[in-house]
Amino acid sequence: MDSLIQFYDIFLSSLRWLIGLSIGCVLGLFFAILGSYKYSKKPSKIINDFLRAIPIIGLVPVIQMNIGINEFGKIGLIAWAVMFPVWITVRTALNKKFDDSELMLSGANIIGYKYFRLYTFPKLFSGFLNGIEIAIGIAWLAVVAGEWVGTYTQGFWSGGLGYKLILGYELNNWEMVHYNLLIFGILGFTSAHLWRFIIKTLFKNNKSFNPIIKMN
Amino acid sequence: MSNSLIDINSLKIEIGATELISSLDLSLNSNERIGITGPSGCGKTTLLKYLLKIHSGKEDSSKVSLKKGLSIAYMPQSEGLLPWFSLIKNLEVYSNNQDIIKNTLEELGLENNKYSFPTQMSGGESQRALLATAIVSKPDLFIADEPLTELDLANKWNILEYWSKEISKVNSTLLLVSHDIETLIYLCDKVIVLTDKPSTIKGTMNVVETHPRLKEFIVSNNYLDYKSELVELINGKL
Repeated sequence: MDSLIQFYDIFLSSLRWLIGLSIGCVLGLFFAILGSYKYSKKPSKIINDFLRAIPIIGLVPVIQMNIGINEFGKIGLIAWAVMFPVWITVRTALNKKFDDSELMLSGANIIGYKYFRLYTFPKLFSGFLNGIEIAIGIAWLAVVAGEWVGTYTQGFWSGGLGYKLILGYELNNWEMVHYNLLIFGILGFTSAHLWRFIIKTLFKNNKSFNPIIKMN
Repeated sequence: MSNSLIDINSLKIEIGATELISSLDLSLNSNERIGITGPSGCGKTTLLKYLLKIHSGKEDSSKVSLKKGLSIAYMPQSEGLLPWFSLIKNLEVYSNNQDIIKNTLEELGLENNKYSFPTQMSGGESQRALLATAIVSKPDLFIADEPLTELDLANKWNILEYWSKEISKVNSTLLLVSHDIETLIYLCDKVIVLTDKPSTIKGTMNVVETHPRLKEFIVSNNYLDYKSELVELINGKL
């Protein structure tokens, strides 16, 4: 059992998850904003639809061949997978129109930065929160693919639950497989609930703004 | 220098293949209060939104001229408050003056709703909240689309009287669209009746009473005469 309990693997996988999630969310936000401009709207949509259909598992050998088995490739894969839900939810939120509110604001000559701060940013932020909610689960799925890239490196980054999971399959050690799957489930559950707790605490009174409270 | 805020000449509005307004001429001068009524779907709301879009530069028309730099308080039918802000924050979007905000909330019976979010308010409260945002902004022009239709009768006349006084206080102008002929007569100097689509002006009735009008006006004989005249105009043949 000692060999199964690998807290360091949990720590490493969680760290990759967190870094990949953060980078992916920022990238998703960036591309969604970029795609909201008149001339980049259509190309952005086409690129997004094309790229997000590429299976992440299929990218594993590509990463191994072209980037190697370093952390850049692993975390890059997680960020890649996470980027799309954030991109889509932010884009959807930006495209959502509150026609009457827009007319009220423009009627009162509220334009430019003030318009962005009062109208565009809250819309965008709401979509961003929604995207993170979805991305949390997807990032855990991507951790397995990321760690499949390879964990035979030396030093700090050596290990991970995904690696242990795949090793379990290869060794036909089903106890190890089930154990690692269970840990992934617990981590997914904990991270999702922690996120919801943070959001509920931050926006406890603003039920209309908080997409998570509304969902529940 | 022209006193006119809005000038509309032979305006035609089409949505897709449907002609909503065939020919409309309208002039709205400063401090004037004009009401528009007509059958559902004749283009009243579309006209208001069209004017607002011209003001914001989203539409362009050679048939409409709007005075430059106007501040317009638009009151849509029900929605329009920013859903991510509480009522007080919504009011602060349109005014920095806390005294005016506090006073307006009190006058409109919304003190207990100031921290409510738009989704937590009833239809009547939302309409009062929209009126509050309009009043605190102290605009040059109020553009209102079916305002206060969900108010109970006990509150309706108090609120209309308050609004009428506020329009006079800030020397503002009103363009109001409504099916409620009582509100139209109470607030407006002139009521324009539109025909069914493709609409044009069917007739006009002037309400020659001084502003601000008090609640007593609604029980006066004059008021009843205006009401009869307007009903006749609405129901009459062209």
